[in-house]
Amino acid sequence: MFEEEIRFLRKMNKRQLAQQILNFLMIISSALMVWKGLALYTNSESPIVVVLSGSMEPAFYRGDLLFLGMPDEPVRVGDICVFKIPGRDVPIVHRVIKLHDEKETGKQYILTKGDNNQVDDRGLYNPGQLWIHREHIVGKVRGFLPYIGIITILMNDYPQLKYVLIGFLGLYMLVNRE
Amino acid sequence: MEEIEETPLISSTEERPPKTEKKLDEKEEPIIVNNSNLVDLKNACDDYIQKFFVNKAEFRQNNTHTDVKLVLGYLACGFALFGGYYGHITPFNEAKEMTIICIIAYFVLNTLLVLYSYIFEKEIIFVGDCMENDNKYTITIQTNTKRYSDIYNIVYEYVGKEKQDSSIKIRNSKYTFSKSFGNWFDVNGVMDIEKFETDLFEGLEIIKTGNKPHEQ
Amino acid sequence: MYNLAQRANAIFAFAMTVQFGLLLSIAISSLYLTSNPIGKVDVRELNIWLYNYDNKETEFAFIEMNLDADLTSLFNWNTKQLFVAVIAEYETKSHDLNQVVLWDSIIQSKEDAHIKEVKVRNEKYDFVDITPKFGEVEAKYSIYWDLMPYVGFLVSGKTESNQTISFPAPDNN
Repeated sequence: MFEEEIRFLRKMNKRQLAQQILNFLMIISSALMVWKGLALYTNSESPIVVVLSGSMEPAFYRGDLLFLGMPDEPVRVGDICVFKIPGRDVPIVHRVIKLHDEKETGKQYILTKGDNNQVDDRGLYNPGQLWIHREHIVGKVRGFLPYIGIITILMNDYPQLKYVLIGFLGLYMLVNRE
Repeated sequence: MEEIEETPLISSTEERPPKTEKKLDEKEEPIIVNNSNLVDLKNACDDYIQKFFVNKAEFRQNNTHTDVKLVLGYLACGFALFGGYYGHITPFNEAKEMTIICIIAYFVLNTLLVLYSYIFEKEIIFVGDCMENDNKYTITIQTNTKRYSDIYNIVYEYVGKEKQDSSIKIRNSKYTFSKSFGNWFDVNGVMDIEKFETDLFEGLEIIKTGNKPHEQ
Repeated sequence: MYNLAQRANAIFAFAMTVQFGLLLSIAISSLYLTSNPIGKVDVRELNIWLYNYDNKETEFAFIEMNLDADLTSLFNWNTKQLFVAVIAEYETKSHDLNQVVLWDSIIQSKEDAHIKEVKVRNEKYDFVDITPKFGEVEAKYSIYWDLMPYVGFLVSGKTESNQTISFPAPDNN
Protein backbone atom coordinates (compact mmCIF):
# COMPACT_ATOMS: atom_id res chain seq x y z
CA MET A 1 0.00 0.00 0.00
CA PHE A 2 2.75 2.45 0.99
CA GLU A 3 5.56 0.90 -1.07
CA GLU A 4 6.11 3.99 -3.14
CA GLU A 5 6.16 6.24 -0.06
CA ILE A 6 8.64 4.00 1.73
CA ARG A 7 10.88 3.91 -1.34
CA PHE A 8 10.73 7.69 -1.49
CA LEU A 9 11.82 7.98 2.14
CA ARG A 10 14.62 5.42 1.73
CA LYS A 11 16.07 7.21 -1.26
CA MET A 12 16.66 10.40 0.71
CA ASN A 13 19.82 11.15 2.60
CA LYS A 14 19.92 12.01 6.30
CA ARG A 15 19.60 15.74 5.82
CA GLN A 16 16.72 15.46 3.38
CA LEU A 17 14.90 13.13 5.76
CA ALA A 18 15.50 15.54 8.64
CA GLN A 19 14.14 18.34 6.45
CA GLN A 20 10.98 16.37 5.63
CA ILE A 21 10.34 15.57 9.29
CA LEU A 22 10.99 19.22 10.13
CA ASN A 23 8.39 20.33 7.57
CA PHE A 24 5.84 18.15 9.31
CA LEU A 25 6.84 19.33 12.80
CA MET A 26 6.73 22.94 11.64
CA ILE A 27 3.04 22.64 10.72
CA ILE A 28 2.19 21.20 14.13
CA SER A 29 4.32 23.77 15.98
CA SER A 30 2.93 26.72 14.02
CA ALA A 31 -0.63 25.64 14.76
CA LEU A 32 0.25 25.13 18.43
CA MET A 33 1.96 28.51 18.75
CA VAL A 34 -0.85 30.38 16.98
CA TRP A 35 -3.34 28.72 19.33
CA LYS A 36 -1.23 29.56 22.41
CA GLY A 37 -0.70 33.09 21.16
CA LEU A 38 -4.43 33.51 20.68
CA ALA A 39 -5.02 32.12 24.18
CA LEU A 40 -2.64 34.68 25.68
CA TYR A 41 -4.01 37.52 23.58
CA THR A 42 -7.60 36.81 24.55
CA ASN A 43 -6.54 35.83 28.07
CA SER A 44 -8.66 32.72 27.78
CA GLU A 45 -7.48 29.16 28.22
CA SER A 46 -9.32 27.89 25.15
CA PRO A 47 -10.11 30.89 22.97
CA ILE A 48 -12.29 28.95 20.54
CA VAL A 49 -15.03 26.52 21.63
CA VAL A 50 -17.66 24.49 19.82
CA VAL A 51 -21.29 24.54 20.94
CA LEU A 52 -22.32 21.03 21.97
CA SER A 53 -25.91 21.50 23.15
CA GLY A 54 -29.06 23.32 22.16
CA SER A 55 -29.54 25.17 25.42
CA MET A 56 -28.72 28.54 23.85
CA GLU A 57 -30.95 28.15 20.79
CA PRO A 58 -31.88 30.09 18.74
CA ALA A 59 -28.66 32.02 19.32
CA PHE A 60 -26.23 29.11 19.10
CA TYR A 61 -26.81 25.68 17.61
CA ARG A 62 -24.79 22.50 17.95
CA GLY A 63 -21.66 22.84 15.84
CA ASP A 64 -21.36 26.62 15.93
CA LEU A 65 -17.96 28.06 16.71
CA LEU A 66 -17.56 30.64 19.49
CA PHE A 67 -14.59 32.96 19.95
CA LEU A 68 -13.90 33.83 23.56
CA GLY A 69 -12.16 36.68 25.28
CA MET A 70 -11.50 37.36 28.91
CA PRO A 71 -10.70 41.02 29.38
CA ASP A 72 -9.82 42.36 32.81
CA GLU A 73 -13.21 43.99 33.21
CA PRO A 74 -15.56 42.01 35.48
CA VAL A 75 -18.48 39.84 34.39
CA ARG A 76 -21.81 41.63 33.93
CA VAL A 77 -25.41 40.49 33.63
CA GLY A 78 -26.28 39.61 30.03
CA ASP A 79 -22.79 38.37 29.18
CA ILE A 80 -22.68 34.93 27.61
CA CYS A 81 -19.98 33.05 29.47
CA VAL A 82 -18.24 29.73 29.06
CA PHE A 83 -17.67 28.18 32.47
CA LYS A 84 -16.36 24.95 33.92
CA ILE A 85 -17.92 23.40 37.00
CA PRO A 86 -15.20 21.89 39.22
CA GLY A 87 -14.92 18.15 38.68
CA ARG A 88 -16.57 18.27 35.26
CA ASP A 89 -14.76 18.13 31.96
CA VAL A 90 -17.22 19.69 29.55
CA PRO A 91 -17.58 23.46 29.75
CA ILE A 92 -21.02 25.10 29.49
CA VAL A 93 -22.00 28.19 27.46
CA HIS A 94 -24.82 30.13 29.17
CA ARG A 95 -25.96 33.67 29.88
CA VAL A 96 -25.46 35.47 33.21
CA ILE A 97 -28.87 36.36 34.64
CA LYS A 98 -27.95 37.33 38.18
CA LEU A 99 -24.88 38.82 39.71
CA HIS A 100 -23.77 40.10 43.10
CA ASP A 101 -20.40 41.78 43.66
CA GLU A 102 -19.34 41.47 47.28
CA LYS A 103 -18.02 44.74 48.67
CA GLU A 104 -15.31 43.46 50.99
CA THR A 105 -13.70 40.79 48.87
CA GLY A 106 -14.71 41.88 45.40
CA LYS A 107 -15.87 38.33 44.82
CA GLN A 108 -18.52 37.89 42.14
CA TYR A 109 -21.51 35.64 42.75
CA ILE A 110 -22.83 34.64 39.35
CA LEU A 111 -25.96 32.74 38.31
CA THR A 112 -26.40 31.58 34.73
CA LYS A 113 -29.17 30.22 32.55
CA GLY A 114 -29.48 28.95 28.99
CA ASP A 115 -31.71 31.12 26.79
CA ASN A 116 -33.57 28.00 25.72
CA ASN A 117 -33.93 26.56 29.25
CA GLN A 118 -36.92 27.27 31.47
CA VAL A 119 -34.95 27.24 34.72
CA ASP A 120 -31.61 28.59 35.86
CA ASP A 121 -28.47 26.50 36.08
CA ARG A 122 -28.51 25.61 39.80
CA GLY A 123 -29.52 22.11 38.77
CA LEU A 124 -26.37 21.89 36.64
CA TYR A 125 -24.00 23.11 39.33
CA ASN A 126 -22.62 20.76 41.93
CA PRO A 127 -25.12 19.73 44.65
CA GLY A 128 -25.62 22.59 47.10
CA GLN A 129 -23.77 25.06 44.87
CA LEU A 130 -25.84 28.21 44.38
CA TRP A 131 -23.36 30.45 42.55
CA ILE A 132 -20.38 30.23 40.27
CA HIS A 133 -17.42 32.59 40.55
CA ARG A 134 -14.99 34.35 38.31
CA GLU A 135 -12.44 31.52 38.54
CA HIS A 136 -14.89 29.08 36.98
CA ILE A 137 -15.27 31.23 33.90
CA VAL A 138 -13.13 30.34 30.90
CA GLY A 139 -14.18 33.32 28.81
CA LYS A 140 -16.90 35.59 27.51
CA VAL A 141 -18.31 34.94 24.06
CA ARG A 142 -17.07 37.69 21.74
CA GLY A 143 -17.49 36.33 18.23
CA PHE A 144 -19.54 33.78 16.39
CA LEU A 145 -19.03 31.61 13.31
CA PRO A 146 -21.77 29.12 12.46
CA TYR A 147 -21.52 25.45 11.38
CA ILE A 148 -17.70 25.06 11.19
CA GLY A 149 -17.44 23.27 14.54
CA ILE A 150 -19.44 20.32 13.26
CA ILE A 151 -16.09 18.94 12.00
CA THR A 152 -14.82 18.82 15.59
CA ILE A 153 -18.03 17.18 16.77
CA LEU A 154 -17.74 14.53 14.05
CA MET A 155 -14.13 13.87 14.98
CA ASN A 156 -15.08 13.54 18.65
CA ASP A 157 -17.94 11.19 17.85
CA TYR A 158 -15.83 9.06 15.53
CA PRO A 159 -12.23 9.13 16.85
CA GLN A 160 -11.09 6.77 14.07
CA LEU A 161 -11.83 9.58 11.61
CA LYS A 162 -9.43 11.82 13.51
CA TYR A 163 -6.57 9.31 13.45
CA VAL A 164 -7.07 8.48 9.77
CA LEU A 165 -7.08 12.19 8.91
CA ILE A 166 -3.98 13.00 10.95
CA GLY A 167 -2.21 9.89 9.64
CA PHE A 168 -2.82 10.76 6.01
CA LEU A 169 -1.85 14.37 6.53
CA GLY A 170 1.38 13.33 8.22
CA LEU A 171 2.25 10.85 5.49
CA TYR A 172 1.44 13.39 2.81
CA MET A 173 3.72 15.94 4.46
CA LEU A 174 6.54 13.42 4.81
CA VAL A 175 6.56 12.22 1.22
CA ASN A 176 5.89 15.49 -0.57
CA ARG A 177 8.53 18.10 -1.17
CA GLU A 178 7.27 21.60 -1.50
CA MET B 1 24.44 17.96 -31.51
CA GLU B 2 24.81 16.75 -27.94
CA GLU B 3 26.47 13.50 -28.97
CA ILE B 4 29.15 15.22 -30.97
CA GLU B 5 30.20 17.27 -27.98
CA GLU B 6 30.20 14.36 -25.63
CA THR B 7 33.34 12.56 -26.61
CA PRO B 8 35.85 15.41 -26.66
CA LEU B 9 34.37 16.85 -23.49
CA ILE B 10 34.91 13.81 -21.32
CA SER B 11 38.37 13.12 -22.61
CA SER B 12 39.42 16.69 -22.01
CA THR B 13 38.81 16.65 -18.26
CA GLU B 14 41.92 15.17 -16.78
CA GLU B 15 41.01 15.79 -13.13
CA ARG B 16 38.32 13.17 -13.20
CA PRO B 17 39.34 9.53 -13.00
CA PRO B 18 37.05 7.67 -15.42
CA LYS B 19 37.18 4.42 -13.46
CA THR B 20 35.04 5.49 -10.54
CA GLU B 21 32.48 6.89 -12.91
CA LYS B 22 31.91 3.53 -14.53
CA LYS B 23 31.52 1.73 -11.24
CA LEU B 24 28.92 4.14 -9.91
CA ASP B 25 26.96 4.05 -13.14
CA GLU B 26 26.33 0.36 -12.78
CA LYS B 27 24.97 0.69 -9.29
CA GLU B 28 22.59 3.54 -10.08
CA GLU B 29 18.93 2.75 -10.42
CA PRO B 30 16.96 4.70 -13.03
CA ILE B 31 15.50 8.04 -11.95
CA ILE B 32 11.82 8.17 -12.84
CA VAL B 33 9.58 11.15 -12.10
CA ASN B 34 6.16 12.40 -13.03
CA ASN B 35 7.20 14.55 -15.95
CA SER B 36 4.15 16.76 -15.80
CA ASN B 37 5.10 17.89 -12.32
CA LEU B 38 7.65 20.71 -12.51
CA VAL B 39 8.53 20.46 -8.82
CA ASP B 40 9.31 16.76 -9.22
CA LEU B 41 11.48 17.48 -12.24
CA LYS B 42 13.40 20.21 -10.47
CA ASN B 43 13.88 18.13 -7.32
CA ALA B 44 15.18 15.19 -9.35
CA CYS B 45 17.67 17.43 -11.16
CA ASP B 46 18.72 19.22 -7.95
CA ASP B 47 19.31 15.89 -6.22
CA TYR B 48 21.28 14.57 -9.13
CA ILE B 49 23.44 17.68 -9.34
CA GLN B 50 24.48 17.15 -5.71
CA LYS B 51 25.26 13.52 -6.38
CA PHE B 52 27.14 14.45 -9.50
CA PHE B 53 29.43 16.98 -7.91
CA VAL B 54 30.24 14.68 -5.00
CA ASN B 55 30.65 11.38 -6.85
CA LYS B 56 31.70 12.34 -10.34
CA ALA B 57 33.41 15.69 -10.00
CA GLU B 58 34.86 14.88 -6.57
CA PHE B 59 33.89 17.97 -4.70
CA ARG B 60 33.50 17.79 -0.96
CA GLN B 61 29.96 18.95 -0.16
CA ASN B 62 29.62 21.80 2.30
CA ASN B 63 26.28 21.45 4.07
CA THR B 64 26.40 24.67 6.11
CA HIS B 65 23.21 26.13 4.61
CA THR B 66 21.14 23.01 5.24
CA ASP B 67 22.61 22.53 8.71
CA VAL B 68 21.91 26.10 9.81
CA LYS B 69 18.35 25.75 8.59
CA LEU B 70 17.88 22.40 10.30
CA VAL B 71 19.28 23.65 13.62
CA LEU B 72 17.13 26.79 13.58
CA GLY B 73 14.05 24.79 12.56
CA TYR B 74 14.43 22.04 15.14
CA LEU B 75 15.22 24.58 17.87
CA ALA B 76 12.04 26.49 17.01
CA CYS B 77 10.00 23.28 17.04
CA GLY B 78 11.59 22.32 20.34
CA PHE B 79 10.43 25.57 21.92
CA ALA B 80 6.95 25.19 20.44
CA LEU B 81 6.47 21.59 21.54
CA PHE B 82 7.91 22.29 25.00
CA GLY B 83 5.57 25.29 25.36
CA GLY B 84 2.64 23.15 24.36
CA TYR B 85 3.61 20.37 26.76
CA TYR B 86 4.30 22.77 29.64
CA GLY B 87 0.95 24.47 29.10
CA HIS B 88 -0.69 21.07 29.13
CA ILE B 89 0.69 20.02 32.52
CA THR B 90 0.47 23.46 34.23
CA PRO B 91 -2.62 25.56 34.94
CA PHE B 92 -3.24 28.28 32.36
CA ASN B 93 -2.44 31.27 34.56
CA GLU B 94 0.78 29.82 35.97
CA ALA B 95 2.05 28.77 32.56
CA LYS B 96 1.57 32.20 30.99
CA GLU B 97 5.16 33.44 31.31
CA MET B 98 6.69 30.25 29.98
CA THR B 99 4.19 30.29 27.12
CA ILE B 100 5.16 33.86 26.19
CA ILE B 101 8.86 32.92 26.22
CA CYS B 102 8.20 29.91 23.99
CA ILE B 103 6.05 31.86 21.55
CA ILE B 104 8.62 34.64 21.22
CA ALA B 105 11.49 32.16 20.83
CA TYR B 106 9.51 30.26 18.22
CA PHE B 107 8.73 33.30 16.13
CA VAL B 108 12.23 34.79 16.44
CA LEU B 109 13.86 31.52 15.38
CA ASN B 110 11.39 31.15 12.53
CA THR B 111 12.08 34.68 11.35
CA LEU B 112 15.82 33.98 11.48
CA LEU B 113 15.21 30.84 9.43
CA VAL B 114 13.27 32.74 6.79
CA LEU B 115 15.82 35.55 6.71
CA TYR B 116 18.71 33.09 6.46
CA SER B 117 17.26 31.28 3.50
CA TYR B 118 16.25 34.55 1.87
CA ILE B 119 19.55 36.38 2.36
CA PHE B 120 22.22 33.65 2.40
CA GLU B 121 20.85 30.47 0.92
CA LYS B 122 18.80 31.98 -1.90
CA GLU B 123 18.53 29.31 -4.58
CA ILE B 124 21.73 27.51 -3.69
CA ILE B 125 21.41 23.75 -3.91
CA PHE B 126 25.05 22.78 -3.72
CA VAL B 127 28.24 24.17 -2.22
CA GLY B 128 31.39 22.14 -2.50
CA ASP B 129 35.12 22.52 -2.62
CA CYS B 130 38.08 20.55 -3.85
CA MET B 131 41.83 20.83 -3.38
CA GLU B 132 44.17 20.59 -6.30
CA ASN B 133 47.89 21.02 -5.68
CA ASP B 134 47.32 23.32 -2.71
CA ASN B 135 44.82 25.33 -4.72
CA LYS B 136 41.36 25.50 -3.27
CA TYR B 137 38.35 25.66 -5.57
CA THR B 138 34.85 26.33 -4.34
CA ILE B 139 31.80 25.76 -6.47
CA THR B 140 28.30 27.07 -5.75
CA ILE B 141 25.32 25.90 -7.78
CA GLN B 142 22.03 27.72 -7.85
CA THR B 143 19.05 26.45 -9.80
CA ASN B 144 15.62 27.80 -10.53
CA THR B 145 12.64 27.41 -12.79
CA LYS B 146 10.11 30.02 -13.75
CA ARG B 147 6.48 29.31 -13.01
CA TYR B 148 4.80 27.24 -15.77
CA SER B 149 8.06 27.13 -17.70
CA ASP B 150 10.00 24.00 -18.61
CA ILE B 151 13.37 25.78 -18.65
CA TYR B 152 15.80 24.75 -15.93
CA ASN B 153 18.39 27.40 -15.12
CA ILE B 154 21.69 26.40 -13.52
CA VAL B 155 24.01 29.11 -12.24
CA TYR B 156 27.59 28.00 -11.60
CA GLU B 157 29.88 30.08 -9.47
CA TYR B 158 33.49 29.11 -9.15
CA VAL B 159 36.05 30.63 -6.84
CA GLY B 160 39.62 29.45 -7.06
CA LYS B 161 42.36 30.34 -4.58
CA GLU B 162 45.54 29.54 -6.43
CA LYS B 163 48.95 29.76 -4.81
CA GLN B 164 51.42 31.49 -7.02
CA ASP B 165 54.83 31.75 -5.41
CA SER B 166 54.08 33.49 -2.12
CA SER B 167 50.84 35.28 -3.01
CA ILE B 168 47.39 33.87 -3.47
CA LYS B 169 45.58 34.60 -6.68
CA ILE B 170 41.82 34.58 -6.54
CA ARG B 171 39.99 33.56 -9.65
CA ASN B 172 36.27 34.15 -9.97
CA SER B 173 33.95 32.94 -12.68
CA LYS B 174 30.25 32.63 -13.21
CA TYR B 175 28.26 30.78 -15.82
CA THR B 176 24.55 30.38 -16.42
CA PHE B 177 23.15 27.41 -18.23
CA SER B 178 19.50 27.04 -19.31
CA LYS B 179 17.82 24.12 -20.96
CA SER B 180 14.40 22.54 -21.13
CA PHE B 181 13.74 19.52 -18.90
CA GLY B 182 12.70 17.83 -22.15
CA ASN B 183 16.36 17.34 -23.00
CA TRP B 184 16.90 15.02 -20.05
CA PHE B 185 13.57 13.25 -19.55
CA ASP B 186 11.67 11.04 -21.97
CA VAL B 187 7.88 10.70 -22.31
CA ASN B 188 7.78 8.20 -19.46
CA GLY B 189 9.63 10.50 -17.10
CA VAL B 190 12.85 8.47 -17.15
CA MET B 191 15.92 10.63 -16.73
CA ASP B 192 18.63 10.30 -19.34
CA ILE B 193 21.44 10.49 -16.82
CA GLU B 194 24.20 10.47 -19.41
CA LYS B 195 22.81 13.45 -21.26
CA PHE B 196 22.34 15.37 -18.04
CA GLU B 197 25.90 14.58 -16.95
CA THR B 198 27.23 15.70 -20.29
CA ASP B 199 25.58 19.07 -19.82
CA LEU B 200 26.83 19.31 -16.25
CA PHE B 201 30.38 18.50 -17.31
CA GLU B 202 30.19 21.10 -19.98
CA GLY B 203 29.20 23.71 -17.41
CA LEU B 204 31.94 22.57 -15.06
CA GLU B 205 34.52 22.78 -17.82
CA ILE B 206 33.45 26.24 -18.85
CA ILE B 207 33.60 27.51 -15.32
CA LYS B 208 37.01 25.96 -14.75
CA THR B 209 38.69 27.01 -17.93
CA GLY B 210 36.67 30.01 -18.85
CA ASN B 211 35.73 28.81 -22.33
CA LYS B 212 33.65 26.15 -24.04
CA PRO B 213 35.42 22.83 -24.52
CA HIS B 214 34.65 22.39 -28.17
CA GLU B 215 36.13 25.78 -28.94
CA GLN B 216 39.54 24.68 -27.72
CA MET C 1 -1.37 21.53 -11.77
CA TYR C 2 -0.85 18.19 -13.38
CA ASN C 3 -3.70 16.07 -12.06
CA LEU C 4 -7.32 16.28 -11.01
CA ALA C 5 -6.66 16.08 -7.27
CA GLN C 6 -4.27 19.01 -7.42
CA ARG C 7 -6.68 21.14 -9.38
CA ALA C 8 -9.55 20.26 -7.06
CA ASN C 9 -7.35 21.13 -4.10
CA ALA C 10 -6.37 24.46 -5.61
CA ILE C 11 -9.99 25.37 -6.33
CA PHE C 12 -11.07 24.30 -2.84
CA ALA C 13 -8.28 26.28 -1.19
CA PHE C 14 -9.11 29.35 -3.24
CA ALA C 15 -12.83 29.02 -2.49
CA MET C 16 -12.06 28.74 1.23
CA THR C 17 -9.82 31.80 1.15
CA VAL C 18 -12.50 33.82 -0.60
CA GLN C 19 -15.18 32.53 1.77
CA PHE C 20 -13.27 33.43 4.93
CA GLY C 21 -12.19 36.75 3.47
CA LEU C 22 -15.83 37.55 2.81
CA LEU C 23 -16.93 36.42 6.26
CA LEU C 24 -14.21 38.49 7.91
CA SER C 25 -15.14 41.60 5.95
CA ILE C 26 -18.80 41.09 6.87
CA ALA C 27 -17.86 40.70 10.53
CA ILE C 28 -15.66 43.79 10.61
CA SER C 29 -17.84 46.02 8.46
CA SER C 30 -20.93 45.41 10.60
CA LEU C 31 -19.09 46.89 13.57
CA TYR C 32 -19.21 50.23 11.78
CA LEU C 33 -22.98 50.24 11.23
CA THR C 34 -24.50 52.82 13.53
CA SER C 35 -27.68 52.29 15.49
CA ASN C 36 -29.81 54.32 17.79
CA PRO C 37 -31.73 52.04 20.14
CA ILE C 38 -34.03 53.73 22.65
CA GLY C 39 -36.03 52.26 25.47
CA LYS C 40 -37.74 53.08 28.71
CA VAL C 41 -38.85 51.08 31.72
CA ASP C 42 -41.70 52.55 33.70
CA VAL C 43 -42.22 50.79 37.02
CA ARG C 44 -45.91 50.89 37.97
CA GLU C 45 -45.90 48.83 41.12
CA LEU C 46 -43.42 47.27 43.50
CA ASN C 47 -44.46 44.94 46.28
CA ILE C 48 -42.44 42.85 48.67
CA TRP C 49 -43.72 39.59 50.05
CA LEU C 50 -42.08 37.41 52.64
CA TYR C 51 -41.81 33.70 51.93
CA ASN C 52 -39.94 30.88 53.49
CA TYR C 53 -37.10 30.05 51.12
CA ASP C 54 -34.35 27.62 52.02
CA ASN C 55 -35.53 27.68 55.65
CA LYS C 56 -35.09 31.44 55.79
CA GLU C 57 -37.68 34.15 55.75
CA THR C 58 -36.87 35.79 52.44
CA GLU C 59 -38.07 38.93 50.74
CA PHE C 60 -39.47 38.40 47.24
CA ALA C 61 -40.02 41.51 45.15
CA PHE C 62 -42.87 41.62 42.66
CA ILE C 63 -42.75 44.27 40.04
CA GLU C 64 -45.15 45.53 37.42
CA MET C 65 -43.85 47.73 34.68
CA ASN C 66 -44.56 49.19 31.25
CA LEU C 67 -41.92 48.76 28.59
CA ASP C 68 -41.46 50.97 25.58
CA ALA C 69 -38.47 50.40 23.36
CA ASP C 70 -37.56 50.89 19.74
CA LEU C 71 -34.72 48.55 18.80
CA THR C 72 -35.44 48.47 15.04
CA SER C 73 -32.23 50.33 14.27
CA LEU C 74 -30.23 47.40 15.63
CA PHE C 75 -31.46 45.21 12.79
CA ASN C 76 -28.94 45.36 9.98
CA TRP C 77 -28.04 42.82 7.33
CA ASN C 78 -25.89 40.86 9.79
CA THR C 79 -28.37 40.72 12.71
CA LYS C 80 -29.59 37.24 13.52
CA GLN C 81 -31.45 38.04 16.69
CA LEU C 82 -31.67 40.32 19.70
CA PHE C 83 -31.78 39.18 23.27
CA VAL C 84 -33.65 41.85 25.22
CA ALA C 85 -33.88 41.94 29.01
CA VAL C 86 -34.99 44.24 31.78
CA ILE C 87 -32.28 44.49 34.39
CA ALA C 88 -32.62 45.79 37.94
CA GLU C 89 -29.46 47.26 39.40
CA TYR C 90 -29.01 48.18 43.05
CA GLU C 91 -26.46 48.55 45.79
CA THR C 92 -26.67 47.10 49.27
CA LYS C 93 -24.51 47.46 52.35
CA SER C 94 -22.62 44.21 51.69
CA HIS C 95 -22.61 44.18 47.90
CA ASP C 96 -21.67 47.19 45.79
CA LEU C 97 -23.28 45.93 42.61
CA ASN C 98 -26.27 43.66 42.24
CA GLN C 99 -27.79 42.94 38.84
CA VAL C 100 -30.91 40.85 38.33
CA VAL C 101 -32.74 40.01 35.13
CA LEU C 102 -36.50 40.49 35.56
CA TRP C 103 -37.85 39.85 32.08
CA ASP C 104 -36.45 38.76 28.77
CA SER C 105 -37.41 38.26 25.16
CA ILE C 106 -35.75 37.07 21.98
CA ILE C 107 -36.49 39.13 18.89
CA GLN C 108 -35.77 37.64 15.51
CA SER C 109 -37.22 40.14 13.07
CA LYS C 110 -37.20 43.86 12.61
CA GLU C 111 -41.02 43.95 12.71
CA ASP C 112 -40.98 42.72 16.30
CA ALA C 113 -38.25 45.08 17.43
CA HIS C 114 -40.68 47.76 18.54
CA ILE C 115 -41.51 46.69 22.09
CA LYS C 116 -44.60 48.08 23.71
CA GLU C 117 -45.64 46.00 26.68
CA VAL C 118 -47.88 47.04 29.50
CA LYS C 119 -48.16 45.55 32.97
CA VAL C 120 -45.20 43.23 32.58
CA ARG C 121 -44.44 41.17 35.69
CA ASN C 122 -41.34 39.27 36.69
CA GLU C 123 -43.11 35.93 36.41
CA LYS C 124 -40.23 34.06 34.85
CA TYR C 125 -37.56 35.32 37.22
CA ASP C 126 -37.54 35.54 41.00
CA PHE C 127 -36.44 38.90 42.25
CA VAL C 128 -34.58 38.09 45.46
CA ASP C 129 -31.35 39.38 46.91
CA ILE C 130 -28.35 37.20 47.70
CA THR C 131 -29.13 37.93 51.36
CA PRO C 132 -32.62 37.16 52.63
CA LYS C 133 -33.55 40.85 52.96
CA PHE C 134 -33.19 43.72 50.52
CA GLY C 135 -33.05 46.32 53.29
CA GLU C 136 -33.35 49.92 52.28
CA VAL C 137 -32.36 49.91 48.64
CA GLU C 138 -33.12 51.91 45.55
CA ALA C 139 -33.02 50.05 42.27
CA LYS C 140 -32.50 51.34 38.74
CA TYR C 141 -34.15 49.61 35.80
CA SER C 142 -32.80 49.47 32.30
CA ILE C 143 -33.38 47.68 29.04
CA TYR C 144 -30.43 45.55 28.00
CA TRP C 145 -29.94 44.26 24.48
CA ASP C 146 -27.48 41.76 23.10
CA LEU C 147 -27.11 41.58 19.33
CA MET C 148 -26.18 38.23 17.90
CA PRO C 149 -24.91 38.36 14.32
CA TYR C 150 -25.07 35.72 11.58
CA VAL C 151 -21.30 35.87 11.69
CA GLY C 152 -18.94 38.12 13.61
CA PHE C 153 -18.88 39.96 16.90
CA LEU C 154 -21.53 40.09 19.60
CA VAL C 155 -22.52 43.63 20.52
CA SER C 156 -24.47 44.58 23.60
CA GLY C 157 -25.75 47.74 25.21
CA LYS C 158 -28.10 49.20 27.74
CA THR C 159 -30.54 52.07 27.77
CA GLU C 160 -29.95 53.99 30.97
CA SER C 161 -32.88 55.00 33.09
CA ASN C 162 -33.12 57.61 35.79
CA GLN C 163 -36.20 56.33 37.52
CA THR C 164 -35.32 54.97 40.93
CA ILE C 165 -37.83 53.47 43.29
CA SER C 166 -37.22 52.70 46.93
CA PHE C 167 -38.22 49.28 48.10
CA PRO C 168 -41.28 49.35 50.34
CA ALA C 169 -41.73 47.34 53.52
CA PRO C 170 -43.01 43.80 53.09
CA ASP C 171 -46.77 43.59 52.62
CA ASN C 172 -47.37 40.48 54.70
CA ASN C 173 -45.14 41.39 57.59
